Amino acid sequence: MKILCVLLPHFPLRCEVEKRPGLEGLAVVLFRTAGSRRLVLDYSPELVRLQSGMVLQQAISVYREAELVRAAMPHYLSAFNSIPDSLEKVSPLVEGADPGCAYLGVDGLELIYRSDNALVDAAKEVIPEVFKAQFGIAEGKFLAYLLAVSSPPGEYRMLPGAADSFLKDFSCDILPISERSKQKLHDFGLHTLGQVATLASGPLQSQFGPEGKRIWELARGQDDAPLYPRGYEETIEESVTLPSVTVSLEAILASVESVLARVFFRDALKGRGICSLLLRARIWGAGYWERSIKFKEPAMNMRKTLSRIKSALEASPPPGPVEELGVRLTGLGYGTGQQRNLFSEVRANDHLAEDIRQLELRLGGPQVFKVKEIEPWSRIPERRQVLAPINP
Amino acid sequence: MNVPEPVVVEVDTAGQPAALRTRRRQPITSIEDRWRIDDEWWRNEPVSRLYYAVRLGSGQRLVVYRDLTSDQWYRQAY
Repeated sequence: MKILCVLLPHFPLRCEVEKRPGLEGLAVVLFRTAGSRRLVLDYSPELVRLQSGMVLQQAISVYREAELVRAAMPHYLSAFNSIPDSLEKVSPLVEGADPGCAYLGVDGLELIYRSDNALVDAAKEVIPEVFKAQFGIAEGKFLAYLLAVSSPPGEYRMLPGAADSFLKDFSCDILPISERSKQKLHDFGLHTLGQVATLASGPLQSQFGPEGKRIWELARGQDDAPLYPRGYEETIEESVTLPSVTVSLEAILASVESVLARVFFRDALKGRGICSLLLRARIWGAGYWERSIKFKEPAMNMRKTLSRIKSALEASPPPGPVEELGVRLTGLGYGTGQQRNLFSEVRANDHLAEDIRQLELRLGGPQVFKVKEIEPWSRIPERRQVLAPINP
Repeated sequence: MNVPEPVVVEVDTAGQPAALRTRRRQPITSIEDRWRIDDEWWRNEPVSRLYYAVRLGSGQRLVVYRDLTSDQWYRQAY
């Protein structure tokens, strides 16, 4: 299958630059928190001695002058979601592999895009220039990825000749396999794909199991991994910046309410309810916080949604002062067999009983009754049920 | 609940209901069913009723009964 790989190198960093153009040209290290550790997520291309996943202290010791920026993962994921959305205008088969890398199935599009140039131009048009996309076209995802890795920004590359000669100098670290297997390859003195390709598949399989066969095939440019086009999931997103940073639950809930009001105003939600949502908050000085909230039954109105969010926030409030709040609805569904309440404004039986009590005080005597069965089997009709006052 | 409502019923020579008198006279076109209830005979006011499911000239179906102890007619949903 012919694949176009769209690679957005240093995607998290480019997202930050898009948000803060002042970072352009600076030596920047993006870090994320993993438990008590801080790890490098991304870095400026000129910081060649850094690696993703490196402990931040090591990175600082190498590049003391680098600007440290806390990574905002939800923002990068949200930004990347818009890339496959745009690429679907080029081809309906889009796999959003990782943030910064997408594959397009382009078989059968020859009538629309007469040449590979035209195809890449169409892809370039839908991707913001700030991401400096690189493209690779090949039969298979792995080869297309390597071609994209080795192509200049804004350009595309195709296989120049035989796959073997193109692949032979790539490091084994580029293989999409476990870190343990990569280390094991190096321990065996196999540092490049060319070295792996010279071996027979048997010894590799005996050492690496099923992964050994895949390593051997990939090193020879054979890749039959299917394209997994992403499933369509309708999402609705809304967010609001709080007038002032706050830890007050009431103020946070008021902001959630205003966000929900916008969500329920949307045509996309008409007649449907919320099955699950992601509540996001930007915490002052502490990055992003998010909480997934599921609903037992689709919440068809704002009151029900807000009540569920309130109980979730009371159980685990945001870890610091909130600057910005947003909701992302990921599951939309239809309500099933719900009987509407005659007294829709009354929330509980207690409230209803209280209203009736007030009415009866004003008018005197029992005014509202309920039908109570006493002898439903009786042959005498008036003996079967009685009207009993609701408030005895 | 479902307390019997007194009505005026004209009867024919055989004692069968022939017309219902409310604000106007409504002839009974057919008697679709008839059954008798005798109950609570151990009480001071035993229940003894002869029910008729009748069809009026307007097509409306209703249930009336004759109280056999007081000889009064009543209307009641059954």
